Amino acid sequence: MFIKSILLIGNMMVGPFMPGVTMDRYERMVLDINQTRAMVRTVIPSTTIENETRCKAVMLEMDNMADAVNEYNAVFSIRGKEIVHLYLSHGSTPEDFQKVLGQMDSEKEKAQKKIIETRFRMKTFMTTEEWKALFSPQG
Amino acid sequence: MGFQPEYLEEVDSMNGTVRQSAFFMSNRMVKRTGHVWGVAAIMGFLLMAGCAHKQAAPPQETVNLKELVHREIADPVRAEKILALMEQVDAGINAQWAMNQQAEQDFMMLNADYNSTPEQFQRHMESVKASRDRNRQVIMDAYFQVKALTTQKEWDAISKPDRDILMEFIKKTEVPDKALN
Repeated sequence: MFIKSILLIGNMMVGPFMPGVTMDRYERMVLDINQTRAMVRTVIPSTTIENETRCKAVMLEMDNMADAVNEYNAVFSIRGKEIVHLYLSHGSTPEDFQKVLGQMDSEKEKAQKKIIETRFRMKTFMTTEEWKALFSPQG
Repeated sequence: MGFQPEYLEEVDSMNGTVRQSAFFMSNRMVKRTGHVWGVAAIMGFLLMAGCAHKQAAPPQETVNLKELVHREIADPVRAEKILALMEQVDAGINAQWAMNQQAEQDFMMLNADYNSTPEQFQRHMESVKASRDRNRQVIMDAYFQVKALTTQKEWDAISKPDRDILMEFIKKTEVPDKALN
């Protein structure tokens, strides 16, 4: 009945994900992260010691970003399932939802803050042109 | 990582046909002009209320839904009220879709700008959160009104297709569902 609702409610309430992950999705994520790392090496060619140092620093920030995502997902994987159970339960109350959502919102904001901080630290190791080459929509 | 599959096969409980519903969000990392958006998407996903880099369109409701509600809810007046509330939920969801898409575009532009400031990101996140909370309230209000209009038995009956699919989905998760079984 509410399958669309469930998915979008989950999306909206709990953030970007419904609970769980399929291996192909996770593997795709890993692939994309690795491809981005490869792009960083193209954008910042390791022709100088300085470049190599900067490149490593950017890679470290990408690791930090991935860590923030994983930390949040660990919370989400459990709390998201609680949301699903609450959703399906006739007796669940707004307070039940709010308790779980409050926890998830808090963790999400924590992860957001970390990712933003990571983004700005990453930027300090890259020039404007390098940043544009990596993230510009026009490429 | 918490990514959901892009498509879900739903067994239509009315006639046994299998239909595919686009999940509300695809976390596929889209390559554009040779540049990988993986990191930008990673940055973006937590900044938005569930926005993937490329979103699937909301799945369409089927006629069977109306039949299901009228079959399980004996009172046709109550059944129509429930269906109207479901439309309210849909409206909230569609609003969320539109917001997510715009939020994603805004975030990508913000991120691409080397000179964007933390304050700009903060304002963006606050704006997205406010919109999300509004949509959340619309959906929650309608959802609880539906439950208030149904008995336990009726609710179980009309939510059964969702229940079966979601339980199956939960079983496939990485984290064992021990605490919730």
